[in-house]
Amino acid sequence: MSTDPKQTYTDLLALEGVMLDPARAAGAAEVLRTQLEVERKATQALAFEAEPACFAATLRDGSR
Amino acid sequence: MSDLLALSAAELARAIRARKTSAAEAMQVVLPVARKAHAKLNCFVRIDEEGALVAARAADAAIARGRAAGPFAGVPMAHKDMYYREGEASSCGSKITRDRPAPATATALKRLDAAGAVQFGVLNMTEFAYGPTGHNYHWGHCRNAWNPDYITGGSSSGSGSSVAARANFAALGSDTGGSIRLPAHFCGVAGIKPTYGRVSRAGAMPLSFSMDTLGPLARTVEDCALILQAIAGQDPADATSSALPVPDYVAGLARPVKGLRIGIPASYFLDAVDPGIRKLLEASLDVLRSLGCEILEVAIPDMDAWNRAGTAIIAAEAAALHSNWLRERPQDYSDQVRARLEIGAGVTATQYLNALRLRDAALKAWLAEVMSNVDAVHAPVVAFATPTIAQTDVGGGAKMTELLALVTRLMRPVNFLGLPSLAVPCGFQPHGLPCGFQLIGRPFDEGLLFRLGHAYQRATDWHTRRPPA
Repeated sequence: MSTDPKQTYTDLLALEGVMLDPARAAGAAEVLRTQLEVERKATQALAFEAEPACFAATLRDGSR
Repeated sequence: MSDLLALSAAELARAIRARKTSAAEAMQVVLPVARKAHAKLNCFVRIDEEGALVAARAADAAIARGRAAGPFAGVPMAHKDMYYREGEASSCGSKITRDRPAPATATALKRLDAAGAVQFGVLNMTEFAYGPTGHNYHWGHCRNAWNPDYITGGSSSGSGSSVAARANFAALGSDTGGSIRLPAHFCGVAGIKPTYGRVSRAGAMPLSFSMDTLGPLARTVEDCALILQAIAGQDPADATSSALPVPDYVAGLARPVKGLRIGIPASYFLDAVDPGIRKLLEASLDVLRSLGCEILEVAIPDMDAWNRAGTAIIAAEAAALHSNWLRERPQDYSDQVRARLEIGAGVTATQYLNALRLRDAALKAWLAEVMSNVDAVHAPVVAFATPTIAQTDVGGGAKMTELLALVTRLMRPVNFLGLPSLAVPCGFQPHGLPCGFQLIGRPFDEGLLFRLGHAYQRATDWHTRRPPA
């Protein structure tokens, strides 16, 4: 794979069978980069044991 | 009865039950208005005049025979074209499913049928409910009843536009990242995004199974309460529907609001709010204060990360659901939806799962830090003056991500948290387009939001204003 983020992104999607419009490759790669950066920051304090399934119980228990 | 179109759905239902009018008369009044509104606003995908009149007459016959009439017996309604009826095509605003027969009838439709509502059409929407502005490149853009040059908001664009135009008494919409509350705000109607799991998603087009919620847009908060009453509750066909009992929302409307504590967010929601919108929000708080509510500022956790996490969840789930069509029929998507699905296809598994893992901690933080101090949070729906269709016609181009993030910024964190939020109209911006506020509540506390919204509407008349014919 290329070290060029937009080419890497294009290659990744091609492996999924999705043909990315070349005009959008740079924009899509940038969106993903930003998202990953935020995700890293946001999950730094997350407990090792945190699981998605806990959400439904918190929602239910959060009712009056 | 004169001017049936001035009535809310609840008022019309009462009038039909009292035999002051009939379902057939109501249908005969609304159908030509719907036709005319559609010609101007492009808010319908299909109107079934013949079938609707037959169904309305059948409703009248049932009432005449003394058969128990449901709360909406004979009330004409049209819904977002993503609620399936078995065997009928639901376009979902797309080219791809426009001729695909639906596999089963949506639970929400079955429940509204049982409540006596008469469906007379299906409404325009954003392609696959994946867009917040109301543009649709397959069926044509939906237009705002207050000024057709302006956006309706999306994705429940036809729901907002048709109800505002008095071409429909109430409509079902869906809200994954603001798609009920945005059209409610832009079109000047009420809309409730219920708690995740409150309404069965069975038989409604999925966009993001972790974030999708279904609910009504209507002229009044009372209508929203009545409709949610009819459609809420556990459903074996949707494993994520909640087993918690559905309270009596309608009975709760009459309860006093004096002493309820309403929080104003100290950050995020009120950053960079347009002065015209800020003024209307402040006036709405004055009304709530005059009703005896206590208004206080509340500190808000970091919503930006939650907003982005919500974006990643929706993007990944939408891309997964659409993966076959995205591979086989990419040319049949509009540029914008295709571009967004391509972004979703690149979300990594760890990013997606960490966003889902973050959700529980975020909700716990919100409940502890915000909702322990207040009964509801009052916030804008959007922070900027309503733009035109042309100004927001960015397709899948370079400006897309920025624009969509701006429009959904105050919406998506609420979906991420799974919380209920009620949008209520509160006046008009300086350029004449409507404005609303949202009230965000505790999980499954829709009843309290209805109580506050109904009290606000009893003290104001914004919901009675009608757009130019």
